[in-house]
Amino acid sequence: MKFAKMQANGNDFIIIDNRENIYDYEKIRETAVKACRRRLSLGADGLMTIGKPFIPGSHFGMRFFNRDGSESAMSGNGARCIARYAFQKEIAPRKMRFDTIGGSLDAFVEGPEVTLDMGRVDTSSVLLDETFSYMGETFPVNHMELGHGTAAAPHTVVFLEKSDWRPLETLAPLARALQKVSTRFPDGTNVNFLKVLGHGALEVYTYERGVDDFTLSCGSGSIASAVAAWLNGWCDSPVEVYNPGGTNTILLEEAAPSLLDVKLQGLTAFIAEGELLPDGL
Amino acid sequence: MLSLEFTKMQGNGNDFILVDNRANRFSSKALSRLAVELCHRRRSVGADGLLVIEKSPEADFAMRLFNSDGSEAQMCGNGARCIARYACEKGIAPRETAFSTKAGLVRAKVAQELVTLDMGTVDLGEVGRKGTFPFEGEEISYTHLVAGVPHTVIFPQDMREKTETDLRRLAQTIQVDGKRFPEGTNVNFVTEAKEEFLRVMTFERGVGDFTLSCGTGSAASAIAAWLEGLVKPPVTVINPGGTNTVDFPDERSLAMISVKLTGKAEFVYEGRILEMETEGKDIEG
Repeated sequence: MKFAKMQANGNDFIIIDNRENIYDYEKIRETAVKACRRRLSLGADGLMTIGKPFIPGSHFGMRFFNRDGSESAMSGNGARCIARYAFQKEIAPRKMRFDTIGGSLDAFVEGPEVTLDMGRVDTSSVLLDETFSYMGETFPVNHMELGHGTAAAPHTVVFLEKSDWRPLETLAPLARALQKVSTRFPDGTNVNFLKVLGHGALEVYTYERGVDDFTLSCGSGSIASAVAAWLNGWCDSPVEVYNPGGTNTILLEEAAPSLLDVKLQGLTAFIAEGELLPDGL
Repeated sequence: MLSLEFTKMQGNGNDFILVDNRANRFSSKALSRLAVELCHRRRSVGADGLLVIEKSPEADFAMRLFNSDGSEAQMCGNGARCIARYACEKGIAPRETAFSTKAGLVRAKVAQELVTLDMGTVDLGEVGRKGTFPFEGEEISYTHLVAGVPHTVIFPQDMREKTETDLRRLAQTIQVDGKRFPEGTNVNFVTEAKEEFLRVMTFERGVGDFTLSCGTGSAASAIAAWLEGLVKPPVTVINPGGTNTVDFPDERSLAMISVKLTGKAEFVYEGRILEMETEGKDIEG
């Protein structure tokens, strides 16, 4: 089985070209579980396949499998990797459209840098000027929902002082407390801790709802943080968002009053190409 | 831009990037930097170490191993098994091979995925060192022996009701006891001893923690259990990362016994590095 391994912002992925439908759904699911094991096999955060488009006119269709074999619509880091792969392998032009199980996505590839069109945010639904109190401290917070339909995800942005040097471990209980009391998001929320470093730079640590921990980098968390900082007048566009795993650049453009067009830009890296041998599966 | 072909292998959960350097493409310095770069999990290929096969004037080939921090290791049982299988399947060495390492000549026999390493001899006179160790109000019995490196073995009856955290603390305490163990020691916990197998967890002194599998620890545990009358060779030793078989002559009258260790070495994938994004340009040479 031939594969490529890529990474973006410290998230690593196995990519398999399945345009000829050589592997069926079960085989891919099983391969994801086996090949994602670190040490014993290839080792990765997830496995993506590139296949025929789901909608006429798109350049290809992608599927994303987590290491436990479950399927997700996509991840910002993963989508960037697959866009670059598709361009480099001449599957799609530089400016492309591809399908995920959560909808279609437009991307633009320039060298190792990939820009994803993340759609529109209705800023009138963002809850500004909220606060959250924890252990005697009160933090300004904003709430919003990003994405639509099944891909919609709740995000909470907690504003921290630039000079706040407390270690991440001490913020985890705060994030968990926020998830529990939030009456606005009954299914919990992703919590983004934001420090505004300047008009062009933000520092963001995302505590992801599904992971129940801080992750190296979260594309939608970077977007939520940039939108919140922008609406509060603390940053311009484009703005660089520093995550522990790497940097995302967020581009915001007002399409109409209270409608923001959002783009996510960041680097990708090809790690290796290879052929998986029977012992690895 | 650097391009590089490699093979990814693993033995008992220890994983390695194997590079053929018989043409002397890379200097020692370059290999050390390559190890740091490529062993990084998530950002690169990801592995415990970089195994390098080189030419040897006195053996079938020479094995070198660079840790993920770039330092060069003397020898590693799981790595030696992987490189022996690689050399055999690529036609570099015969099925029964001898190769040089920083720790001396190693003999190995390859039978498909199973590789048997000759571990040299263990001095049974040295094994007489049984003792007890005071730990949090208890006296813990142990056997101490040298199987290539110093090992202390503790049996199930002295581990009752202890959690992994307790055992880690115990191992750390034993390890720094310079009076009993002036050269330091690895600590092996035999968590289960049956006639057919032993279950062993090794706290490696170089790592400072439990590891998935330790070849010399498996050998030391098997010999200590044999001396206690718990098992007969060949002994199957189950580690969290995989299984080793330890074989030696079943004769207590011998002063020295030669020990052989058999375990799996697996080919995970053949790969090619496409681009080295940091410092890749000056790695070669």
